[in-house]
Amino acid sequence: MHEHPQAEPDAGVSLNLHRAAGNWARQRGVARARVDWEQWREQARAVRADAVGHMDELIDLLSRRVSAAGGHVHRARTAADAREHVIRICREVGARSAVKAKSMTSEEIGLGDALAAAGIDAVETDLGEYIVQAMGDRPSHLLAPAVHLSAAQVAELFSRESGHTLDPDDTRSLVDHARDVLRPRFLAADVGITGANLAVAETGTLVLVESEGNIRLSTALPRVHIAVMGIEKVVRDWDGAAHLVQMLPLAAHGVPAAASTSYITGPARDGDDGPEQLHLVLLDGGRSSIQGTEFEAALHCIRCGACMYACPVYRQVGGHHYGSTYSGPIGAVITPLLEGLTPDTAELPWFSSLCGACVEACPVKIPLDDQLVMLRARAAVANSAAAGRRPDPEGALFRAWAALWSRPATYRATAATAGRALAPLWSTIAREHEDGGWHTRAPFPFSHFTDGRDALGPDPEPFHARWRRRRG
Amino acid sequence: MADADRLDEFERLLAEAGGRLHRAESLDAARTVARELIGEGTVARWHDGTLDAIAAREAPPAEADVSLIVADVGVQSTGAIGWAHRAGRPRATGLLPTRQIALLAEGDLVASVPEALRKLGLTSSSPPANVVFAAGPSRTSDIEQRSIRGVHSPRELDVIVFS
Repeated sequence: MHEHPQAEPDAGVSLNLHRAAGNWARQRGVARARVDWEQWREQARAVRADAVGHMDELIDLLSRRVSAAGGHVHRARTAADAREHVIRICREVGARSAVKAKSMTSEEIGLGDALAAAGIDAVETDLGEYIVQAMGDRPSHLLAPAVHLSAAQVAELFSRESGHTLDPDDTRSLVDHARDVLRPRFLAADVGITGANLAVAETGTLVLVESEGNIRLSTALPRVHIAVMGIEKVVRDWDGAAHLVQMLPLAAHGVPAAASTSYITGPARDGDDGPEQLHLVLLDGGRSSIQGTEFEAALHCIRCGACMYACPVYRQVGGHHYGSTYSGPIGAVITPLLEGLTPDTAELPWFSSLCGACVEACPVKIPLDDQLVMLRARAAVANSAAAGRRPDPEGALFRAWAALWSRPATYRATAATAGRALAPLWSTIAREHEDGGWHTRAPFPFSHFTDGRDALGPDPEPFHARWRRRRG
Repeated sequence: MADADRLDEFERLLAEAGGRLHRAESLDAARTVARELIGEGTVARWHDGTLDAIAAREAPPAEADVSLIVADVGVQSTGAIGWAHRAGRPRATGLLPTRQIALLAEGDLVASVPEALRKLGLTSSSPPANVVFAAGPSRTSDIEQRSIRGVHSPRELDVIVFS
């Protein structure tokens, strides 16, 4: 999942993210005035802890109840197993086209590419995901997949698609374009593929929460509905489910209810016009290996996206820089846990200042900061074990730097020289923002630093020198 | 909370979510309000006696201007309405038209989400295949966080509460 193409960094990324985070912060204030927030968090945590603590038992109960309601349940140990289930079902029902409604789980298992390879014409129907898919890009936020893109970029794409010029400031016409393009796709699709926000074990009911209506269309019009869900999303009973369906929109958008919430128990029956078949694909994908460890609370996540907007690192770099399906603080924790500490994932626990804003924002009280520290320790142990067997130029560089800059005399001598030597390089090669000093592209050998974020160049006058001058 | 206060709170939250509430003294009065709202529009409707004698011009859901349905429940704490689909109450009817009008009996207004889930039979041993709760019209803020009402499902929602 790390080889997806990276979007060209755009100077507007930070602006859009800051706007989104600002909106979220305002909505959060409203949410907390509506309910007894701390008591609600504790109750939500307890519901999730009970579910994850009894995952095997509850998944068995859920499977029996879904089957009793006429649905089919498929267990997938790995992402590949889950993809194979979906493709096989599509082939069995003779599906040629599919509509997909927002599911990070289908992104996690790389379902889009698998469907394309199997010759099934599948389109993303969430507006943000439709934009991202049409651009050959990938989502950068759990709830706002296109938060890194500007209206101008969307207008350019939609103008190309529609053959007439659409105004970036006329958001209505942009949304209407997507509605017009997707409506016939919904009407023609053989299969609707969705995720699930949670599943109620005691009745075998899937709960899907949305804003746009694309999930309802995907679960109403096609003759087959396939839901792909991580096994940790199960909850025991309706008492717990009722609390979480109220907590999720409060945590995500600061509102008491999502625009639409669907409760699906089996396929259509009694002359209802919904799908003839319901398939539930239950994905483990490394989740059961987290159960029972000190990281179990990471499975409590209800994918509300609050920790992402709360995180100063995410707000600065955006979701793509993590290089993983799940980004932000929860992504930095869950990715190394699901995939193991690989060279790709081992850096993620350092995408945090450990300020704790994510912990404070989390509606199910996941101790994300503790988990990040524990993962750093694991990665460091793995790294030092490996370091004994190979040369370590980075380590040598940092040791030399530490030796020089921990003494005032050598610091002053080298800092001034370094600044003077590097500044001309930056001013000739780097492109600058309009607002002073920020570079969207750094010169070699620092160029990777600006792949997903902006940088301040070196100042030719070091801090110590400026301080002396200012004090006269 | 008294019934009147409960309805006021429901109306406030429905309006926050972008919906509109209309009050009617009786079912007949509610039908009159619905007819005025529909105007010249074509209507896709459920086969439910409550909705009789309203629509002059009917059309299939994919072509109709207005979706006309009955809400089984209204939720005071969220401003949402909820309903179950079954024979005579197709899912497409509530989804495809641009505008939606829902009739809600005042007696079907409940205080909380758990009560609403119970009332729709979700907590029973055999829940309906498909239950939907809608709080206002569909919406998105996927483009630069600009809030737009009306994406794939209806863009306008009128709820007529009758006593």
